[in-house]
Formats: sequence, structure tokens, C-alpha cells
Amino acid sequence: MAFTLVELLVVIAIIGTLVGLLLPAVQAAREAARRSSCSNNLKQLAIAALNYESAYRQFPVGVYQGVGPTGYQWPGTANYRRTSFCLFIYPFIEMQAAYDLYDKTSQAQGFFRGYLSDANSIKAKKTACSQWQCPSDREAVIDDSLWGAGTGAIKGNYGLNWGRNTWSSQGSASPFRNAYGGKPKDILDGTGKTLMMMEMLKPETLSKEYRAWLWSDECDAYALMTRVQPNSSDADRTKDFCVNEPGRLPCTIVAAGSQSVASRSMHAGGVNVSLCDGAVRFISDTVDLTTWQSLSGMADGSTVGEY
Amino acid sequence: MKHKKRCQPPNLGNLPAQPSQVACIWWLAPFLLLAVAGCGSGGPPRLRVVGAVTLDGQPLADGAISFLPAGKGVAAGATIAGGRYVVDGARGPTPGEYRVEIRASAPSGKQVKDSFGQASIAEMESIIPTRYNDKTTLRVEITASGPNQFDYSLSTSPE
Repeated sequence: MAFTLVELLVVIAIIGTLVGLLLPAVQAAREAARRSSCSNNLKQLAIAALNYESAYRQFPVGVYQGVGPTGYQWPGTANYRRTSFCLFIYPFIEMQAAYDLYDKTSQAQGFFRGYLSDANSIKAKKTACSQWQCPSDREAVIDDSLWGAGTGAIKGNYGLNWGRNTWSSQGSASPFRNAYGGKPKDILDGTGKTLMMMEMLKPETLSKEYRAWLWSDECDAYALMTRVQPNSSDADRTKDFCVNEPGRLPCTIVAAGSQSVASRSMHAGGVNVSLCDGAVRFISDTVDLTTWQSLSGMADGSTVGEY
Repeated sequence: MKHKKRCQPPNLGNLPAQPSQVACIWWLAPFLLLAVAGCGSGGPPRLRVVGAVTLDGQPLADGAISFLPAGKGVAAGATIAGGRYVVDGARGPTPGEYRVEIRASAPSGKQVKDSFGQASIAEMESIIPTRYNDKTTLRVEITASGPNQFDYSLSTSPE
């Protein structure tokens, strides 16, 4: 006996309902996989930073900016370079080739001559680095908008714990700041109770933006604050320019020095963070602000409860 | 009862076709309801906040407002455009007392070198007195019952 029209309609309705239930579940499973891959990257970077600590007895410096006449003086040379955090980690995440390409000896004239014109250094800065990309976020695009064609560098999804207030006024010391990388003995609150790295989002890459720019020593590039909870609707405070993306990457322009960028992700309800002991945790958007800020201080004497 | 009897789980191949079988789709309704209702989240509600901001009588064209918890709460904020702001309810503050900070900046008129010493760019400076941001005394109480509308008339002249 053949099916009647009504029977077919009923079957189609049931199948439609089941697929309707299934699709969001599939999407959720895909995002769960991306989130897992994302936190794995964070774990790799945390282990790399700890390996760096084993080799040099301190964490890599947050950034070298404005140290010496024109930048950081590379050890054993008369050369000053402004240098971003990620370079120091590269040998520990199998990025030795890019590390070697980056010219650490050329005499910088003015600010960062090599940063803008040295072909090998630019090549190093454009080298894709999968460990620094969170698959939940948009693709990394080389951003040439700031200083013209050829000067761009990759952006990434993991930034440093820079304290609880602004770039120049941390509020309470964190393991990273200009020309400083924490030693475990400085982390009095305990390495398991102090943040190391947090997630950040890449902005729309074809416009002038500092945020998520790994290779920049700018204060708003990858220095992340716990001034507000993760994924807050409160605007990031950036210098000179920014592209306001309400709901994703809100921002407002402030005077130099008071930059403050929050940790953000595309995961529902929170961000991945790593702690100074290498642990990776998921922190909720509604984490208690005092707890969140205590986690960023390395010697603020606060005890961190459950979170 | 009559309805219930007809509305058995569908063994569609065997049942003789009756127009009233359409009603059997309704046994799915509770499952659909469950699927929709199962997504509620715990914790205090997050609330939408709106308002208008003027500076010396003029709507503030471009800036940002922050609601920072004075006690327990979730920090929230919004950018100000054309004198108005809307804090998205999905990422809004939870009920409680909040400090309010309002910031805006504009070119100071000076041209400065960018930090690479390459190009000249317009230096930006704050146009809002610090008593509305860094040293703010503005406080609000966000309530679950609303309306959570807060308008601000800021003045650059010293009080």
C-alpha cells in the first residue's frame, strides 16, 4: 500500500524537527572541537614559556620598548632593537627558522629601522604560526595598512597578562611588563594562581589597528588587562586609532599611556587562559571581578578562591 | 479521550490514512518546548542600559561609557555615538551599584611622530574632565526592574 499525502507530510515534519534539533548540536560540537584546539595552542605556548624559563631562569620579557637610546640593547652587541614578546618564544615552538631570519644584529637607526625595511625580518614576521591562532576566530590576515605594502605582520590570538589597570599603570605587578619577564621567585601568589596568557580577538585586519598584533611593541597590541571581565561590552582603550566592532571588539581612543585591552574570544561564555604553572583554564564572562583581578597580580597577597 | 486514542506514536506504514492524523504532530510539541526552554542560564540577569550624554550642552559625538562594579557585578559599557549609548542586554551589567566613567578624545591640534618615528599623526587628548572618568564620582544603581536609563550632562568648566 502506498503512503498517502498526509502520512508523507507527517514523516517530513518529524524528520524536519529531528534535523532542526540535530543541526545546533552539530554546530556546538564543531565549536567545542575548535575550542579544544584553541586551548591546546594556549597550552603549547605556556609550555614554551616554561621551557624558556628553564633555559633563562625567567619568563620572556613582555616587550622591549623604548629601552636604551632607541630600543632594547641586544646582549653582547651595541645594537638597540624594539622587540616583541613572540620572538623569544619562537625557538621553543619549533619556529627556529623564523627566529633565525629575524635580524637581531643590524644597527637600528631611529626607531626600528629593520622592523620596517629589513627583508628577512619582515619575512620572519609574516611566517604563519599556527600555535598562535585560535580556530574559533577569523583567519589571520597580513595587515599592511599601518606602514604601507610589505610592512605587515601576522596577528594572533594569545596575549600576555599585563595587570589589572592600564599599560603604564598595571595596578598590581604582573609577570610581564616592558623589559621585564617574571622569575618564579617573584610570583609570590603562586604560579598556579597567576595568569600567564589570555585569549584575544583579531580585529578586522584591513584597517589601522594595533590589537592582536603579535609583532608590535605597541601597548595595545597584545598586553591584556583584567580591568574588566572577559568579553566585556566595555570598550577597549586604544591609542591613535581603532575600528569599533560593537559586540565583538568595542574600542575607544584614549591618550597614549592609558591603553587597556580586555581578553576576548569567540567561545560562548568565556575565554581560555593559561596560568604560570602551565595549567589552562576556561574563565567565565561573569567571573567575580575581584577574583579575575587577583589572578592577574603575581604578588598582591590576595588569595584566590573558587572560580 | 477520543483525541488521545487517535494520537498514538506513528506506525505510519500500518495505520489507515485518516485526515485527523495531522493532529498527531502535536505529540511533538512538548519536545520542541523542552528544546527551546532548556537553554536558560543561571546567575543574576544581565541588563540593558541606555541613555544620552551631552558635553557643554552638545550631544557627545564620539566616546565611551563604562559601568564598573562598585561591589559585586559584571563590568559593562558601550561606545557613545551621536550623544546616545546602548549597553547590549546580553553583555550588560548585573543588578548592583556601579561606578560610571565617561571618556572621549579629540585631536589636540598638534602633530606628533608615530611611535616608529615614521609618519606624522594627530595627537589625541581627552576632552572630558577627570571627575567624569579617572576620578569619577558618578554612581548608579542598576536594578532588575529597570528602566536603567541614565542621562548625563557633562560640563568642561570647573565646578
